[in-house]
Amino acid sequence: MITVTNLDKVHNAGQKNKFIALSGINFTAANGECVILKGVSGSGKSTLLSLLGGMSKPTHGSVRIEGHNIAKLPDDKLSHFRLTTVGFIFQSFNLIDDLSFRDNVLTPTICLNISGEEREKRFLKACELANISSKESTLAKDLSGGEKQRCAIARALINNPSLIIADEPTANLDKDNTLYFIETMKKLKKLGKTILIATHDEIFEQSTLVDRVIKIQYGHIVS
Amino acid sequence: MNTVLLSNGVIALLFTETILYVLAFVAFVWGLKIYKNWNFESLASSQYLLEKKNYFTTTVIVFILGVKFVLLPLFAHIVDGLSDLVPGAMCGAGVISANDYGMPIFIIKLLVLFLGVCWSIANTIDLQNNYAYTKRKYELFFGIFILLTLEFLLQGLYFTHISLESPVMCCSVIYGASNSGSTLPLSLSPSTLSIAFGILFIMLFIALINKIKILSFVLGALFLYFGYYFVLHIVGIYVYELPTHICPFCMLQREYFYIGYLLWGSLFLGSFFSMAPLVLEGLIHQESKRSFSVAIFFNLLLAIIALYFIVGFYLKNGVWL
Repeated sequence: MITVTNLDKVHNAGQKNKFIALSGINFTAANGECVILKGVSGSGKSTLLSLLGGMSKPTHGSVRIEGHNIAKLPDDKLSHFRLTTVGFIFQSFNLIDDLSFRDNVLTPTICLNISGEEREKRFLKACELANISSKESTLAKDLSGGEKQRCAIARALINNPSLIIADEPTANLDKDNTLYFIETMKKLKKLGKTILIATHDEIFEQSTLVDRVIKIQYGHIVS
Repeated sequence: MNTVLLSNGVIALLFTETILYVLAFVAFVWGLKIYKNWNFESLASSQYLLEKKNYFTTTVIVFILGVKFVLLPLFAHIVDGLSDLVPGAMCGAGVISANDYGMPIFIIKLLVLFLGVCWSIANTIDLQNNYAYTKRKYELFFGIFILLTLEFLLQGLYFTHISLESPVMCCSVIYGASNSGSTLPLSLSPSTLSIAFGILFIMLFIALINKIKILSFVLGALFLYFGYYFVLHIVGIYVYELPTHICPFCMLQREYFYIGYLLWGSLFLGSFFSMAPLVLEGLIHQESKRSFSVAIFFNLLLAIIALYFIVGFYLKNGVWL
């Protein structure tokens, strides 16, 4: 369960170039729900996702995930929260080019004290969910756009997070791969994962994947 | 200008200490603001700003205490090196007694180290418990800051008041064979001191294993007191292989493989970590289990090094000193 209350994010607060990125944001998302954050570039979607994913801290308000206000967590705990609770999928995938597909997917497990056997089990499971298995040793830079996306999904799933956050995940994909992405998200939703997607791609709204659309404009929720 | 102040080591030390003091002063001012306005339950922007400041201030304090930890042996090393300049001094023992500020500085530095250990443990516990002890942590830092101010002033006075004309007494005179009467605590003989220290070591070990805070504190303090004399009067003579050479500083020198740093370091840290749990109990009502393990590690290290020198000498020469 995600509960966002009176959330503000102000950049350069108290300075001349102060910028209000988000103001008075309130919403909730139940477990297993898929919520789309919609808005034009610069509306505050990515800022909201970064706050929900514990990548930055708000200026005011609270972000409660599974009962914990993550905005108040000390750094170590916040890192652990990101590692174990959130799976991130980025617009430009953010893979490490010179690592293989396998190593990219396994990167988030480095900080966890798990056995090689457990790591292998997780790798196979994540690849199965992302529907990719034959590219293990291929370097990330040699993967196609769709494969990179699947690699990014597998990496996001490797630690079995309860929350999936995707920021413009289909912006660099063609229609087929976009539909493929939506199908993968449907599978994850069936597994009870909460999914938050920031996008302005209309295709999501026509899909049965989405439970709710939140429109953001100039840092405010408008509908 | 006093030649002592032109020594490379002293310049480096005073420069570093000045930077650290400025940082400590900044941390103190910010700490006061945080202490005054801290309300973790608040979701207001002022509280979030304080949390950011707290993160930065804590990082600054960790840095200061970390560097202070390194500066203590450096101070001893620099003071030891000044024995070439100070007439009559053969090692740091003479230089430290060159004026009235030397010993108080050393004691304050040890106190800062002890409270620094307590603060570091309190900080770790505070972060593990979502800033539950932030205010108490700052109260402790304010106490440390007072000591840092005193140390900074005394250190300046110490280095500017070392006379290069009046000869000082050094270890050969202070502790030499000609010195009449026992310099050991409670007029103990060396063998009684060794037995007392051995019994203290075992009792402290049992207290630490069983995590008895009050006993660990009391025995840790006694261990520090008797340990000082034990290292100086018993272990030291086996390090120097000379029964008349009783000096805390010479063992820091290269000819003794800098073993003094390990001996004194393990004694101080072992005692401090033994005493810290009770202080933390009083301060934040929390137990630091790791503190007991760290204390056991350093106390055992001290015992192993001491035995290495004492038993090693006996095995090599067939006699006790």
